[in-house]
Amino acid sequence: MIKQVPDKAYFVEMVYSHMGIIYKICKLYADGEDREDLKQEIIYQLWKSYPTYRGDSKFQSWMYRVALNTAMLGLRARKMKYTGLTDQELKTSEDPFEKQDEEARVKLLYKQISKLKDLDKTIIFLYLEQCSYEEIAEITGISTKNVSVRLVRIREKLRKNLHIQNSKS
Amino acid sequence: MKKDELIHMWQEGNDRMFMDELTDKDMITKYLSEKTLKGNRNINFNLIFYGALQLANIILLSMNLAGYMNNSAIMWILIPQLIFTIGTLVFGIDVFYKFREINNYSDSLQNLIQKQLWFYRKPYELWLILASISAIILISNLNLYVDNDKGSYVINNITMFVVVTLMAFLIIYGTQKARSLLGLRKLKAYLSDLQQGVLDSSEGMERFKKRYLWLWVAVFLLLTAFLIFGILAALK
Repeated sequence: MIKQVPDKAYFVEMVYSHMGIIYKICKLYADGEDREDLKQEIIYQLWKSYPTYRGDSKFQSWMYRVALNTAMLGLRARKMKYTGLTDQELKTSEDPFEKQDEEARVKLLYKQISKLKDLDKTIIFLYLEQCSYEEIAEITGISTKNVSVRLVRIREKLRKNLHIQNSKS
Repeated sequence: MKKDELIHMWQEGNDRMFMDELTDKDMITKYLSEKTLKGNRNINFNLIFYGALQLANIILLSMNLAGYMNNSAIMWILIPQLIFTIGTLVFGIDVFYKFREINNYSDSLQNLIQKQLWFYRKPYELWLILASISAIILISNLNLYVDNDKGSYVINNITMFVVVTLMAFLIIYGTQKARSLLGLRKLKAYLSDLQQGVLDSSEGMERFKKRYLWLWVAVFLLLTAFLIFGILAALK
């Protein structure tokens, strides 16, 4: 059987149109120079896994899966340690909640998510990306019931923490 | 806070945040070329290095076999060593390809972790032992090749031989094992975090594979018995 050669141009086009996914995952799982490394590693792993993409699922779902697995497992060997967003990245001149500055608010959200365990981080990320419970279960390999239970807990925690920060500021 | 405030916050904020960070298509192609080249180079280097080492071992063993053709006691040691080394070479290549398979990230996270756990606990663990023994065989054959009738054999002093061999094994195996243990601990933590009780299914999968492992253990024991018998015969 002749192995089909993947279409590189099409692959690049698809990755480019979904590049936001990679940016967000990199921001959640790596910082500093590691973030650039992770970005390259995800693109490489996507290309390596591309022959296994059957086309019967959404490219986006497949991309979430490969990118998140790379972030959680692939870079484990490199001993990357994520410490969260830097002070520079979090720096805002005004109160984010008073001014409703979306960028500042999302940075606080990133900071709170970065404090979660890796799996919880993945689940809430996929939820925020508006994946269905079934999709989240498929990507992580846990049951939809487990996804639902965890999400209630994580969302509650995030809301509570963001509210505490809001009142403190 | 409204029900979907988190999603709203996420979408609106991210749209603004990544506006300046756009990577163009040429950059993606460049990343891809660099990483593919580096990745292939690493894979090929590891495979070639391992293959070359084992082949050197096989050639050395063959030369010793030719050199000690008339010494039946040594032949009893060398023949099992040769079979063992060829087996290790084949098994090592198989482990190498399995390693590439388990690093296919398109599987679900749980399956991926289970596969990695199984790999590190079983084929990789066995390969570590075999490769360590193989390294000892290489060392002993180098000695055997260089040595001659007038030389002083380590093998002549049985206590020394056992101590040196055990020490060599512990050092070679121990350092590799310590490295893999750290990785395993993190994987187990991931897995137990993923789903309570999932370790049971992982262990079930390993039990299924156990019978294949027994085959290797049986071969290993048989060859070890040959080796010990050969050493004892050589000492007489």
